[in-house]
Amino acid sequence: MRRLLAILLCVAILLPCVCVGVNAKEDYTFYKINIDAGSGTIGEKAIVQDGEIYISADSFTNYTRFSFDEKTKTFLIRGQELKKAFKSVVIDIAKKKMLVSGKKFFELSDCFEIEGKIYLPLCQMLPVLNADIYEVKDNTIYISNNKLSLAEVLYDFDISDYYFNISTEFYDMDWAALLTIVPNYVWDTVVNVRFDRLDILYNSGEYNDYKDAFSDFLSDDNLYLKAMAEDASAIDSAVEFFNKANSTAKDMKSVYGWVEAAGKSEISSETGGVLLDSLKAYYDSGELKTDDLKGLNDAWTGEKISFGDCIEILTYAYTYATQVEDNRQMLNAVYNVDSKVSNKETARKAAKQVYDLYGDNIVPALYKEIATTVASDTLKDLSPIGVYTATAKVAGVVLETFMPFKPGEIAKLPVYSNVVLSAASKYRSYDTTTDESTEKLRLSLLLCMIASKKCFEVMGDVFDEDASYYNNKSEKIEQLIMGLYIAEENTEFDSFEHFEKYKKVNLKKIAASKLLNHLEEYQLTEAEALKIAKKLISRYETYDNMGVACDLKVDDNLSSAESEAIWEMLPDDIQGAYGGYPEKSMCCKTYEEAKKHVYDCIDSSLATYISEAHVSYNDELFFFMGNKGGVTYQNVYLKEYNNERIIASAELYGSGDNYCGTYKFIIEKKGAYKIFGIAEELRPVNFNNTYWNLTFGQTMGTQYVARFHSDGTILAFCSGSGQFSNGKYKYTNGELIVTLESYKNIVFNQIAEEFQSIQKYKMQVGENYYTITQTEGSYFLQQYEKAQQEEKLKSVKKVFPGCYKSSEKHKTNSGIKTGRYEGFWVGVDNGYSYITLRADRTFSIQTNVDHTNHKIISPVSFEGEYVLYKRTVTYPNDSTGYSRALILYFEDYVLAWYEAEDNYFGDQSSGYDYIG
Amino acid sequence: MNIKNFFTKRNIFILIGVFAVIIIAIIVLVSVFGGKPSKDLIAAVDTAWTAGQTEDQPAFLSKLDELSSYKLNSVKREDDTYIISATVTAPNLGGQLSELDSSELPQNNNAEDINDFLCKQIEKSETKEIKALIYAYKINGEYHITFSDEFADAMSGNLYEYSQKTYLEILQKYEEGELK
Repeated sequence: MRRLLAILLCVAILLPCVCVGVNAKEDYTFYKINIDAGSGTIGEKAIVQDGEIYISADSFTNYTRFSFDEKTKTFLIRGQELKKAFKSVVIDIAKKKMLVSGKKFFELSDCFEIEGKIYLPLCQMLPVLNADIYEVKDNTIYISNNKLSLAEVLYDFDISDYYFNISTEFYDMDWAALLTIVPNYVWDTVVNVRFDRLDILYNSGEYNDYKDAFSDFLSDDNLYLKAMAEDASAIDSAVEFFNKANSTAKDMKSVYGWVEAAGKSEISSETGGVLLDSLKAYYDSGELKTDDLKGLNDAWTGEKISFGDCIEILTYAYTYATQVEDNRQMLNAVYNVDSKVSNKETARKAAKQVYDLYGDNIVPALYKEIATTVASDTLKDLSPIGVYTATAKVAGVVLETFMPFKPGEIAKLPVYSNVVLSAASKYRSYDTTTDESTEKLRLSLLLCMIASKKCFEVMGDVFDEDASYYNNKSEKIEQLIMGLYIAEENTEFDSFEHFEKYKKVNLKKIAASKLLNHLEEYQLTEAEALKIAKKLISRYETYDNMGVACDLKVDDNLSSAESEAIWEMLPDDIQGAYGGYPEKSMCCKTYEEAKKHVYDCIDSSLATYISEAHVSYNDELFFFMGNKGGVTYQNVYLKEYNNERIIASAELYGSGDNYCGTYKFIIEKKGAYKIFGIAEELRPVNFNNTYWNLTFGQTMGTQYVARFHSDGTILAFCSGSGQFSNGKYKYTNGELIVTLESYKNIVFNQIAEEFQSIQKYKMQVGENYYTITQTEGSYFLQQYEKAQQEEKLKSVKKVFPGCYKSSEKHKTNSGIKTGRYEGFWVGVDNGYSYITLRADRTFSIQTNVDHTNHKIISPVSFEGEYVLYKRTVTYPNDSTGYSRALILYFEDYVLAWYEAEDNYFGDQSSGYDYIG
Repeated sequence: MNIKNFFTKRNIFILIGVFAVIIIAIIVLVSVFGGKPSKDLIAAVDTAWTAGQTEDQPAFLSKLDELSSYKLNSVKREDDTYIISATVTAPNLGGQLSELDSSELPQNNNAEDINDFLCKQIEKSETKEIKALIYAYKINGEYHITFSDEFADAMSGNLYEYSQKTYLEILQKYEEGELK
């Protein structure tokens, strides 16, 4: 017994030590890992363990669309709230697990909590956060974020807000109130309460009604077209990709040759590959033949359309075919047409019939028809939407040959609403645990929404006076449908099934890159510190709708009209929540909040520079302003962008203190006004062999283009004098002092990436600031090379006064001017060839020429400096095998050229001639 | 008759032939008229149907559940699809409501009143017996039950059909100008 107690006691004492385990370790080594998600490379502070990279949870907000809440340890799509989110990722640090969308736990490879920061595995977390490692190159991990996914489309989504519920639609009809009390009640109870729990297929209706309805749903391309127009990036990138591959394709001289090239690495890419793979599959199966795309090929080779247009047409053909296939699959998701269908199941039978009619063979048929027909007509509108419209027109004709469809009528309402209910019921039965289920969730919802939209359209036709209500309903659904179409590409990121697979793929990419073989210990530089500031700023999320409503009225300087105008701009739900137009006095508190927001947007270390910030209104633009401590906000402006976003850029000037930089606040105007301020990183200036335009002096003639060197020196080219001169500079904390020629110690302040003198100087007209702006350097290099050549030429000319610089055309036999040149002469005499080179008529060297190997045999040195045979002597043979010309180069300079007559050099002048 | 003499070559052929005819007849009969549903299948159907019932459901639904019943008569199998023929016996509430004049319907939206009204109408409703199908799909060894809407509607007192018919009638009346 004593022994047992002793053992238990030992276990009790040792257990806590064991449990503390890995996370109690204190001496972590942090490494610098470069990560780039498209907005510049960031050197991340990371822990490396077992081939996995661990970065802090809040760093993921820099590379993904997700934000991280420290309190709840939850990742959410930026701007979303947990209770409304379709996707959420909650980290359980103690158990080293994460709970995804409140449905499934996943073990984390490991995680660490160090100094209040949580470090999570990069390769594992990225797919969960809808991102991926695209490639690892040049010691940098490139991350790509997928496009719109269900996580965004189904945010704050309640199907009952969208789908057509016949009882709800009749409920508010005064005239029908009496008649509909009982049916409304029983419908709500029986259908919405009871039948929703059961897997019931609503078959009421005629087979042909269903068939027509399904065909209608399948070929309704308006929304797909709109969705693609909104999300033209995929198509644009495909076009761009193929344009890059243009040369490869042109070599093959045929459109269908692209298919062969699909396997070639030089033109395979994710985007282009999909199209080519699709084409290839149909070629392989024999469903498409080489002649099928002949029309397109002829149009291209006949130069009626460009290569890019060809690709665009094919891409749209592919896109259209994909849409038909997508819609076809939604029938399967709801009606299980893959399994056996009984004759008694009217709706399923009709769904299967339509599903089979729009079978696999429709896709190659679409390719063929679209590619030939569209190409044969001259496309007037080559915009993406124009090409798609033309494509869709042809596709529509093709589809109609398979099954013509009729427009919806009121009699079809029961059929449509049955489809809505069946699809809604199915939608509720799917979740995101597997790829298949996630895709079926999307597809069943798609069918539900398409059918709902048809129902609302029918209702709108019947009740003219309520048409706007039904149109609004319809439009709301349209947005959702478009989102569902676009989300198709990314449903695998919405499902749980691929998390593990992509984690492994990411780990393999890291391992294959050998990135972890040469790790550099992390040290916090000033630039890194500023980047961290950016992260802090980007973490600040949103106002809620209510807050924004108040914030928009924060400025007491606003006139009533202006305040009212803002109020009118607010979404209905905010107005409704507020219960009416508020008085200005109600907004005082939120004005403070607005200021706080601006402070929070800017890292606390920078907030000390801000004395005030206010939001005002002017012609739909909002302004942030402020100044303190020598830092002045200037040029603060906001700019409207694609009608949905307003980007505010606040440029801040610094003087005296250590500050300069540009901030951008993005105000999103989608549904509600949200501010998720993001500060652009403060810009550390690179003066290591970078090029700058120096606008000094009174005239254009005193402008310089200069190369700055890291040792504090400048080499500048003056456009006026055409001369190079040396200068020097000193850069400290945003202050730049330059000395160049007559400009001594000119002091500049940094403004974003540029510099402006702190005082004005006399210019051609009045006074103005001197400026220094960065440039890419080609002009400088061009001038520099020219100067170097001229220097070289000067020295060469000292030795070879008659030489001239060769050019591309001069390097060919036919392009060289004939004539006499002083300084050189070449002679050939009865099979004994020799070249005599001389700098002037008083000095010469004689050498032998090897006719077989086309070079000068004996070394020729000239004043001990120039070795002529290091280049070449060419004398191309003519058809008789004899040389007709002799060209002598020294480096890039043609020293001598000679053309023989009668297969014999030197005939022009008794066996000797002066050339060069 | 000596038993040994019975098993002549001729008699054995006749016996085999008779057995074959019987077996073929059974197969044909089962495939045409279906066999009896297994206990597993019956249990699966019961479980699926009762999944729609809740404790806090409206009183009229409970009353309908109490008075409605179904019997699974036969099952016809095609691969993994089972088509079950059932007989539903239930009050024809929908039919009863259709007979009423609009003045006899409840005049307000109070759920309690409507419930009472429906319960009373259920008592007045005729019992209707209909044949309806239920579909079962065997996936990974488990039955997935799908009720035909005839079945679901009959078990729900034909209320689905009644509501839909009523809505359509109202719509058509509106379209024809009878309702303003």
